[in-house]
Amino acid sequence: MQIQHNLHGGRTIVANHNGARVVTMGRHGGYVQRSYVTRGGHSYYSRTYYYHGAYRTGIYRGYYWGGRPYYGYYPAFYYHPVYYGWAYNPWPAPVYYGWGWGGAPWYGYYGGYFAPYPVYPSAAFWLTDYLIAANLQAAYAAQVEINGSLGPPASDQLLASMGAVPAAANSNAVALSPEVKRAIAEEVKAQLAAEQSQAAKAGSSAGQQSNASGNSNEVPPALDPARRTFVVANDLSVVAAGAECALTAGDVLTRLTDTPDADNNVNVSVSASKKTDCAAGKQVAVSVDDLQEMQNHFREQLASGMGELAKKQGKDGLPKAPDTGTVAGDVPEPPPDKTAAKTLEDQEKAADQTESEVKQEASSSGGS
Amino acid sequence: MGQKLARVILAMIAIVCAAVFSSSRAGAQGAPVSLQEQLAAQYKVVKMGSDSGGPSVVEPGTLLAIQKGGILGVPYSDTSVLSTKYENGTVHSPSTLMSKGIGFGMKKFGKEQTTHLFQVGDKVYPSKIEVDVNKDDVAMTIVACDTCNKTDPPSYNKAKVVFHFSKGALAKANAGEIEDTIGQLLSISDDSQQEQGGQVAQGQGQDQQGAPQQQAEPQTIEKGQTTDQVQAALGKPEKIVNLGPKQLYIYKDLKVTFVNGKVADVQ
Repeated sequence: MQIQHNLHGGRTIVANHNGARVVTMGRHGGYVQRSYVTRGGHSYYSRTYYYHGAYRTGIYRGYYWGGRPYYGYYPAFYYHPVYYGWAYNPWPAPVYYGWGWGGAPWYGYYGGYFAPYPVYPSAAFWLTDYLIAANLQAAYAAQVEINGSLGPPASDQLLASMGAVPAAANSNAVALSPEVKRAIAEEVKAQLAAEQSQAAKAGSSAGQQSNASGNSNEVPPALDPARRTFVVANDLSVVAAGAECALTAGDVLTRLTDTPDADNNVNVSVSASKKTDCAAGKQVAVSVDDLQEMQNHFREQLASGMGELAKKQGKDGLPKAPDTGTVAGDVPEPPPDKTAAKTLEDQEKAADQTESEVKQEASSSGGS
Repeated sequence: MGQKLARVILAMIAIVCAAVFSSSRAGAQGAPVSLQEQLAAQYKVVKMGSDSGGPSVVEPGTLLAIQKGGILGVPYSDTSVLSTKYENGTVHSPSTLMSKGIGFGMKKFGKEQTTHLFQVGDKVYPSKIEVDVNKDDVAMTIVACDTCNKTDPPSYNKAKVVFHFSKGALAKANAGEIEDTIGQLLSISDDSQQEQGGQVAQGQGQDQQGAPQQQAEPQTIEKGQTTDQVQAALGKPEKIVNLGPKQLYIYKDLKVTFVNGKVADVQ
């Protein structure tokens, strides 16, 4: 069992029990990962996420590289290729879109960090704002969970925002600069192109499974040289120039090195961060596992965004999409592991007990 | 008040997230993965071969550690395998009558029946897994990892364990529940991940070559050593607690405290 405290008061616990990987990220959330199926020489794992009484599941492909296992998000289904093309390519005319975040506490709190695009030339930019917003909502929720409530942000972070706002016009004034957002948008486009390609294979008679070959030493997606920009998904504590600092959901990193060091870390540069996190421009070491989880989260949120876009296309000023139908992937979505809630709860209790014992030992031995 | 509001907001976010994920996936369901497939993914079977020296492991499988006594095995070369039943947390060893019956049959061919009770902590590989949904049984044949258990001369004792579940349980239970039940008797070894035959084996054990080595000399831990040096000497800790610059590695009978990645204290 590994217990990791971060600087904002959160705690991540990772343990392996009888082949299952159990990860808790706070009092009420986490996931249980189990072996699921082997197809085409690849191992696939099911994850059951549990958060505040709700289950959701996902498939993750196993990679084994440099003597370590990694788990990369794997879609259970694809949209028809034409929908990815519609999302990738420019729309006939730029679109003004109102997100309706004006009254949301997170939006006011992070107003100095993020502002949505004033207009959307393509779905890729809409998806970029969608996933940044989703991360900031998660970061806000995590802070509320730890602290009970959040006080007002620093005065220079305040953004007067009441009622539905079509889009903030001052995107140049926020920490998440247009350049950084463009880098995220490029990642979105690259991922859309990759999934369009996979969707074409999934829809063909050949299918993916027959194309897959056992690859026992494949670089995990997070180290793909084409993947440089990462959006932080969960709270992390890292070291910058000898001092510890925090990264929280919605901060943006640029990976600088491709080869992990002996501790399995790669160097990244902080491209954008919130006021209380590691300063933008700092170079920090981040583990490949954490980068892979950022990439997984990015893909999950992109899938969620594509689903939202499929529901909203043709409404609220968004152009109509040609075809939002789906086709199953070669690995079906697993059912939720209904024992996950208890497993996560038990792990939290075990970690509480361990920490309590450590504190008692520390106090009885003079606080060393 | 603020905390109550926060909880309501969090619950709403969770429900919306679940709804978004489930609705976005509607209409895209493939054939479900069978329990047999899921167990096969979890438990990689050992590949056995034989040479002039007798049977040997060609490719190791998932390493399992026996958690309860009572599993009766026979030498690998025996054609008959005795079934040990596991039900409601209890091991039911094969009846002596059955064992004697097989022994009598073997005597007719001039052979002696040799049996071996596996001990708690013994390491074994699965060699076959069969799911019978109609009988609510999962049968797993196991083979001893002789190098792990330091059995000399090697015997590769084998046994069959039948996990019996309540009526209709296999039809509706998820793989996790079945694996947890199997784990009560045959737990996946903590020696964690390794690559096996092009697959990532999560939580699986070490192979023959990677089996835990007997420590010839006592290991020493010194102040100033790194986490890697300590792990090289003592192996992976049971627990790790990270408290900023201070890190605790907790072993069964030892607690090592690191400050800034270097050993500062050992208790």
